[in-house]
Amino acid sequence: MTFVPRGVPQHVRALAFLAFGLAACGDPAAPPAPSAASPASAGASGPAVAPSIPPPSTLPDRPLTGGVIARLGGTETVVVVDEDHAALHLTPDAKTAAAPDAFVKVEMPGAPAQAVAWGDTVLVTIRDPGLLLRLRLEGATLKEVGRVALPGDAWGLAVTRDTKRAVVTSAWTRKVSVIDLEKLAVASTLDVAREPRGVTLSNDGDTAWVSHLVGAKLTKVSGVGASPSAAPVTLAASPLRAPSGKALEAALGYALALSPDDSRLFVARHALGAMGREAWFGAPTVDVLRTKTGDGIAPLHQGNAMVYRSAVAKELETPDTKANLPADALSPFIQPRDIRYRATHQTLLVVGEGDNALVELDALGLDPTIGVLRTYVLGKETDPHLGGAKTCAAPSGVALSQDENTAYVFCRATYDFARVDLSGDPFEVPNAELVFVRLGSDPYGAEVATGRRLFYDATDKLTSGGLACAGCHPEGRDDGFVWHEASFDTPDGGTRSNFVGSYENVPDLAKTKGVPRRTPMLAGRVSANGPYGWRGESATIAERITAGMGLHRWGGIPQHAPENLTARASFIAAFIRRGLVTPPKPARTLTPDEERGKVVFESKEASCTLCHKPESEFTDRVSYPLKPLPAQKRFDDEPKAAFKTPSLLFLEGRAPYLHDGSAPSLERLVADNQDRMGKTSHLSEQDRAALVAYLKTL
Amino acid sequence: MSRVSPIAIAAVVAALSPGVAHTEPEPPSNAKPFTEGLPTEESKKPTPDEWRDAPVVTATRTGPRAKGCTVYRVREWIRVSCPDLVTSSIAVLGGTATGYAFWIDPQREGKDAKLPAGGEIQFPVRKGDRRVVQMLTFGPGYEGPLTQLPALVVQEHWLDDEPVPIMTIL
Repeated sequence: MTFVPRGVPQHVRALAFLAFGLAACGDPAAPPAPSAASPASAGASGPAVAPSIPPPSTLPDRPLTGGVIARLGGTETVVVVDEDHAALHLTPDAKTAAAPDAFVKVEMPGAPAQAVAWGDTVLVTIRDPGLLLRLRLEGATLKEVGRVALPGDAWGLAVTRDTKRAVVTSAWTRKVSVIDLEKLAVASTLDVAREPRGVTLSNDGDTAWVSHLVGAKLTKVSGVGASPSAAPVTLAASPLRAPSGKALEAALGYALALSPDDSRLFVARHALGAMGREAWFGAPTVDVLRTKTGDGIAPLHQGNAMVYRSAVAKELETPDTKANLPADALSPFIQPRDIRYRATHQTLLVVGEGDNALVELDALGLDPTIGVLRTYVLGKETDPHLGGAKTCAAPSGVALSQDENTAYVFCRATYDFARVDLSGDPFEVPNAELVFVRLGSDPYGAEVATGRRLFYDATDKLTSGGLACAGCHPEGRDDGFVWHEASFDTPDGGTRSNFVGSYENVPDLAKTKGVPRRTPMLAGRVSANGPYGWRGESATIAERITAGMGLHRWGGIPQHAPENLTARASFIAAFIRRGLVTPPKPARTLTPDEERGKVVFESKEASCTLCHKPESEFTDRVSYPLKPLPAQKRFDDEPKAAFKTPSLLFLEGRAPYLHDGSAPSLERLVADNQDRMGKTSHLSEQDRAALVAYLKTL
Repeated sequence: MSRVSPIAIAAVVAALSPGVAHTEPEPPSNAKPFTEGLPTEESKKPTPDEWRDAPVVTATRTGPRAKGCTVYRVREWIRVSCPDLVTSSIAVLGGTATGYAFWIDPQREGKDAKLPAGGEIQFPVRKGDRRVVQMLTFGPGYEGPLTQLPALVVQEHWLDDEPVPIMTIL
């Protein structure tokens, strides 16, 4: 396998590299080209003497994949995307930037998500309102030269090598847009599955691959250059760690990367239900898709695979010994947020939001997570009282320098830019000092700042058992997954309730599969005093968070004073109430169909509002005994059928529904409800459709 | 655990202690990539005599955990030999299930007992392969001082449309 872009001779690439190098060494004082049009200028603030921006290169030598850090090809000019401050930070030389005044802050018209850069152009996605902004380098800052309105929550971004087309994912609204960059207009909008996030393009610009925050499937967009169409592609998560013969689901598919020859697609995400010691949460993974055939290259684990044991191993083996599962670290990284292909070394760089780490993985083998080459610990200054790093917490993006010997990272919980030396022996972390530059402070103050760190952090042993709050509630939303809440014995003594991803994670001796519990969404739905929990078992949100600290691990919480948990819970509560951003919900008047649905919803006969009270997030927060739902083979039966009325806010974007996730859509939920919740059996087909249409507006 | 005598445990722990000299030479600097001249026809397993004369080859990528291991090739057959690795088990993690031969040096008896030292993996490299094999060793862990821990993983694959196979030992 050779990783040279198709159709690009090596000597042409070498010339292109040389040309970029020369451009980067040109006259930095040359005046910028005059702006042709400026519908709205982005606001800029920075040092009195602005750093100069090297002259730009021309077209990129590969398609561009967006991220929270974008480097201008041929230069070390870097744009950092700072969502919480609705700003970009621009530095002319990321290789030397060592203080905040090396960056110019450029304000954005909304929260930006990703950027790409080439020549004198920077493209940025804006989440709310959904936009693609086109900016131009002017002097030391960026000026807006155009924008395209997009479906809300515009997030991932990729641009073809000829820079004629961009592909943008809109996460909450489940769309992929293809944009004609010459006309600065949408060429096509496609419906896709939940939470499309990362997007990357083939060298010929005709195929885009999209990862999703929810589910193991990817989306393949074909015909990007002419008439785009989208189709799901199955890619089982972490096949070598799957229960025998079983294809696992996934979450946290924020990012993907193609090999330079397009033959392999690397998807960084989290495998739910993966096997391993104390793998209640599954395992982080990089799954590899063979793009030509559309199948994963790693084989599925088979429980009866051959094991050859020494005489001593035979004697020592216990039921817990699983010799035919990967014995390497279950979590080489936690909560992957970004992945980049390092072509010079045929390796992958992944940033872990949960463990504040940058890892370098082998890109040649069947399972990159087995071949961890280097781990850079980015999180520094561990909080002695509350745990978690106070510097470089929750890294969310990585970009490579031109020579690929330096990585640039942005840490979203502490707003630090980090520079990491990648040079030297590929199996040893260089001794070079990490450089951090703080680009801002938390916009909501110190209390939220602490809660923000804790929410994303998976290293503090009291808060979590190896996966942070954000592992199941990414950005305060949900993983769309139905967990197993099971009671079983663990070696630390006693029987405890823990969450596991699949019943195969529970020790065989426990003979339990657990009851189904679908992850609830948090953002915009936690302002009430309480109670919380599927059964309303926690009086306050802080109590629920504390309970979660015990549920979301293997075994019990390590020895602690209760106030240590309370303090953590109060900070996390402050963050999830004030710091989480709700999905976009543009104000608009209801359509006639939605109005009809509202009438049905509020009607006495349907009785929806008896429990789903509109004035209190569409819930009365009371538990009611309901007719049990049909049993599911992979779960135990519910011991009792009373569940707290859930809020209906942001209903449309968070399928599947019900505590057991048994309703894949609102249409199905209403059709199958009969009179289990309220009364819907009397509704006509049109009224049911209208009710669903209204529910989708909440 | 209780079925193993304290002497045996002590012997294994002694075998695990640092300072074990490498008896296997580093790959010679002129060792060729294992893909060079690789035949596509299937052949029978090499004989011991053939292995004795087999040239040392290099994998596509080898990590520090494979230090002390040597890769040999006869026709399409590969032998990964780790004579100094205290090998507790060798396990197929997934993929092609046929063609393997594994070897773990047996426990020696007596005063100089030195429990399993040395492991080998043998398999053919053929088009369509997807192999992941793990060698485990003993060390302190969640099951006590003789927990089975990862030593190295051999990943070999040769996809139908790729000109040469890839083998990593990490």
